[in-house]
Amino acid sequence: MKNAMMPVAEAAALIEAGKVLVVAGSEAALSQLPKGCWIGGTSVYFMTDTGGREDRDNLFVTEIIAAEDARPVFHAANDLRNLTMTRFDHGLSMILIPAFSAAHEAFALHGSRYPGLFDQPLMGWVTGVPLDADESVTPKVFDGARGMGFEEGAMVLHVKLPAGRVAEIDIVNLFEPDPSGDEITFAATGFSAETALVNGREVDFARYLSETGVETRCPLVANFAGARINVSFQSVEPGKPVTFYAPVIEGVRYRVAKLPGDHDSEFAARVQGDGRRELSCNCILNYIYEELEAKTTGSFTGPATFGEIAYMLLNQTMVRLHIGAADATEAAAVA
Amino acid sequence: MIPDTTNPCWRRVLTSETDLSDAVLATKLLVARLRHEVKAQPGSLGPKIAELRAYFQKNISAVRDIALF
Repeated sequence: MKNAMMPVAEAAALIEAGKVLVVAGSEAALSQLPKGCWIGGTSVYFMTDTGGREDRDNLFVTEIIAAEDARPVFHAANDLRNLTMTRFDHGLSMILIPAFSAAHEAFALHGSRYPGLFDQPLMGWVTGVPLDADESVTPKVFDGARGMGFEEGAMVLHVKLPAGRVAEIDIVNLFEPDPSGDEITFAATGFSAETALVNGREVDFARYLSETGVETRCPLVANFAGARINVSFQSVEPGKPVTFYAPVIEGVRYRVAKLPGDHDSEFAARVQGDGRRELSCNCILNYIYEELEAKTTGSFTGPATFGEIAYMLLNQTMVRLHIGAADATEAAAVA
Repeated sequence: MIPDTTNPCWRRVLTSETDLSDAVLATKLLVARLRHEVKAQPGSLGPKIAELRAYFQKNISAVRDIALF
């Protein structure tokens, strides 16, 4: 994998040379790219090796060097459950989905039940718009094969890997649930909740958050068999349902996260590996709340995104994808 | 080698809250989803075990996770 911020002309040259690319950038920049084996999504916020930055002219380009073959496939929201049907027998898939689209909602609510979803790595992100954009600007995904952008549906890039190579996905979550905090569950799965069960007692959730002074820049965190999964607060207003950037799931036990420590030292302590050889994306909420414009995330670079995808939709998380030798993994499997 | 569906490891992992922190991410997320479904509908345990076993048949690199069950 090779990552770089580059001008449109440089990215176009890679496409014309037949490279397999995943591209992030402004709608205006992505619209200038020629047809080829690439998918793209809108974001103008990036983590680079010199720090976070907003850039509407250049593109963040990841070249999947190990790809033996690849094919971009567009899925409408009502066809998204078939996303695994067109993948290669051995490889990985990248997925980009516009924020607040029907595809976003469909994937968030039902993705983990799509047939065979966990059988091959699926990594990607939710695309967005500049934070100061007016309502006429919408998040987009781009189908490089057809040279078209969409504000609905999802772009999937299926990648075939050589037999000796495997892809691995992991997440970096700097948030931990506050062990002394209340246990929170919800009666229904969804992007909003009017009420919640707090330590088993039903409450008006917005009022509870307000009265207890919960820091809603910190997400709800649940334990998924050892993986900490966040759901971020979108809005908390008195008398209205609390809304989230990913769905809360019926019956899952959540706790509000405690405030993380210093970002740079926390990140350095938890993240190993050479980010220059990995594809990664980091949540726009981390970018804003942790003021990443003035910081780096080690050697890990990539777009700041409006939801991260590591098989399922995540919030306030960095997702990383590594392609390595299959031998090492399989040797470990029998060790 | 992937254990047969009658092996107690499958029931154990899907009806407990065993921490699988050392498993690969896909295993953790799939097991979490299947546990949730089994808890909501205990009669679905058999098909859920079959689904989990099928996942490992397609993910040789994840088979080491079964040792954690």
